[in-house]
Amino acid sequence: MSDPAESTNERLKQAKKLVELLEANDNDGASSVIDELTGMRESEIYQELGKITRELHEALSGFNVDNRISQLAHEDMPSAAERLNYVIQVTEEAANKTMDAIEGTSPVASRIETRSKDLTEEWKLFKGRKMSVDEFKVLSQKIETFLVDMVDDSVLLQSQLTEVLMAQGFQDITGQIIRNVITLVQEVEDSMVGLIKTSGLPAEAEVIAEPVAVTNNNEEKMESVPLQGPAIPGVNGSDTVADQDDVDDLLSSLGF
Amino acid sequence: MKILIVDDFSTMRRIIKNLMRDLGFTNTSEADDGATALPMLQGGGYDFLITDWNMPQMTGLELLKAVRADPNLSKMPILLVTAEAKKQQIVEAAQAGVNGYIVKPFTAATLKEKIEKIFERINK
Repeated sequence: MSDPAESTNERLKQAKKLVELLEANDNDGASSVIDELTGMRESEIYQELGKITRELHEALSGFNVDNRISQLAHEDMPSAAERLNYVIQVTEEAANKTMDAIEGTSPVASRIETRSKDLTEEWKLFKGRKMSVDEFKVLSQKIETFLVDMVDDSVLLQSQLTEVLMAQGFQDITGQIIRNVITLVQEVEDSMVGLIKTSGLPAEAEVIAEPVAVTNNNEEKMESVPLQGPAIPGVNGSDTVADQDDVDDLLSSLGF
Repeated sequence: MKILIVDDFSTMRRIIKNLMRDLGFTNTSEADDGATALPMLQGGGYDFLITDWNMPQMTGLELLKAVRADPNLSKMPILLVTAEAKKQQIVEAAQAGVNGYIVKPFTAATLKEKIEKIFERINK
C-alpha cells in the first residue's frame, strides 16, 4: 500500500469494477466495492497518523537538546563571559604587578651601579697611593655605608623578584579558566549540531570533527564534587571559599 | 629533604620550585600529573609532596589517596596547592589525610607558613 503507483492502480481497478456493477444494477456488489475503497482510505489515514505521531515523538525528544541550549544561553554563556573578563583582570593584575616590581628595582640597580663605580675610582686612587689619610678616612666611611646599604638593597631586590615570580601564577589560573570555556564552547557546538539534526536540515555533521576532550572526564574520578577550577568572583556561590583565610578557618573548625 | 612538586602547569611548578629554593629547599623534582608522580614516589627517596588537585590523568586527591594507601608512603607529608575552592572539596581533602591546603592564587608568605606548620607538627 505504501507504493503510490500500486495504490493508484488498485483504486482504478476498484473504480472500474464499481462502474460495471452500477451499470449492471448490482447494488449490493457496488456497496461492497465502496466499503473496500473506504477501507483503503482509512488505512492510509492511519499510516499518516502513525507518521505524524512518530515525528511528534522525535520533536519532543529534541526538546531535551533545546533545554540544554536554553541553559547554555541563559547561564553558561554569560558565566563564560564573566570568566573571560576575569581572565583579562587577572592578566592585567599580573602585568601591573610585574611592571611595579621592575619600576621598584630599576632605581636600586642604577643606585648600586653609580655607587660602586664611584667607590671603584676612589679605591684605585688609594691603591695608587694617591690618597691622603683624611681622604682615606672619608673613603673608609663611604665603603662601610655602602656595604650596609647593599644588605638592604639585596633584600629589597629579592622581595621584588619574588613579586615577579608570584605574578606568573596568572598563567595557571587563566589557563584553567580558559580550558573550562573551551569545553563549554565545544558543548555549544555539539548542541547546535544536535539541533540542526533534529530540525531535519542538512547538518553536514560528518564534516564537523568530534571535539577533543580537553578537560578531565570527571565521571570516572573518585571525587564526589566535580572539579570547579579557579573561583571566579561573582560567579561562585557561598559554598566556595574566598581566600586562604577562609580555608584556614574551615580547616581549623574541623579540628585541623 | 627531597621534595616532589606536581602540577600540570609548568609555570606553577617553576613558581613553587623557586619559592622552595628561597626557603632553603634545593632538592626538588617535578611531575606533570598524579599518574607520573606516583611511580616516582614509589621509587623512593622523597620526603615531601606538594601537589595540585585538578590534573588530566590522575588528580591530586587520587594521588593523595594512593599515597595514604601505600604502606611505604602513607606517612609522607602532603601539601595541596590548588584553585579548587569549594568548601566540600576542602573537607574531602582533609578527610583523605592532607597535611595542608593552599588555595590559588597564593602568596610566598602563605607557602612558607604552611610548610613551617607541617614540619612543626611532624617534628613534635
